[in-house]
Amino acid sequence: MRVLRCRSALCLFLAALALLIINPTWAKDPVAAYHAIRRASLKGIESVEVVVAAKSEAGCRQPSTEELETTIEAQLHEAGIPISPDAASYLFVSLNSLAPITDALCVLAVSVDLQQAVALVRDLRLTTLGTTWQEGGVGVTTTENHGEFLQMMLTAVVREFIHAYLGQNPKP
Amino acid sequence: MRHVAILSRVFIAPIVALLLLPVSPWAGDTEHDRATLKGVEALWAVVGGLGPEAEQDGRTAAQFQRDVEVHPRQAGIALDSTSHHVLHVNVTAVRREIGVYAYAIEVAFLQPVRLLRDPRLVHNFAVTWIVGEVGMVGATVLSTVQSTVMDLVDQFINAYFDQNPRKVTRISPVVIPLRGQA
Repeated sequence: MRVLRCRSALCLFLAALALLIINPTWAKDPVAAYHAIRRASLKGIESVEVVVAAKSEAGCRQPSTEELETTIEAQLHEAGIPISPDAASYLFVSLNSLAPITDALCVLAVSVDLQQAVALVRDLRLTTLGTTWQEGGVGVTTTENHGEFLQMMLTAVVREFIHAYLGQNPKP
Repeated sequence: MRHVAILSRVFIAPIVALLLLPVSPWAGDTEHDRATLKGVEALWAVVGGLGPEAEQDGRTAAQFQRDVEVHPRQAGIALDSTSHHVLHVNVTAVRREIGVYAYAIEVAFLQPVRLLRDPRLVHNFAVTWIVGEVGMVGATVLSTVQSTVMDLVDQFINAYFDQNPRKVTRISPVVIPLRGQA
């Protein structure tokens, strides 16, 4: 009983401390706080599985999903990030190309999401794959430069992930 | 977010007066995704992105913030800027020299989660519901992007009420006697 009371007191103290520490940060600059939280969510990830979803319209053809996966995996491998088909964390890469103006221009959108298994704090029985880290970009290019532009955007966004990952999991 | 763009100047502005060809690259509105909205009592609507160029063309972040808050509030969803359940609307618009915008819109719901691989990391947030669109639009009709944003916000509202049905309050009928019947 005494132990339980002590634990309750400790819990109350820790909760009060957490409120003092967390809330002012959240209130002062919620965007910075959120960015710090999402970077921290990468800590301890041992390996990732790369999943690519690519969609394109005529005139803005993209490399195949397999080719894109290989390119991304090579970039991660070079940075020393382990890749495994059985990983519990997924690097979900989405590429979309539109050709809206008489096949002359392409709109490109690239996003990289780190998805992992999570439980909702307000109901821990409910689990799902949640995106805890995300980066992306949108741009316009001519159809003739599309391939080069796509590669440039993809490399830049994956590089952001590598930077964030290595920041949380430094090489020994 | 990093934006890189290359564009030839050979294209003429008039042909891009009104082009709005959205697609839906993100699929985060499945039954399972919707289930993560169950029991959410209040949320904080946050609008991000847009950028100074879009503001010059007449859409300000403050306007977008107001617009995005109107629909959930009218639908009966409580908005609370201290809530840790966040409806995040991100509009990324990149303007090119010929007067067109490439845009990407994301409407995402974030909430506090625990990572299953390490439950000690309690203070964590994850996107558990998301929809989005990518497209291109002429600068003079940038406001049409707003209707796309609102369609996606309405999709969130539908998903929310799918999981949190409105409480029906019964109102007793008031009988007003017709003139001459009193």
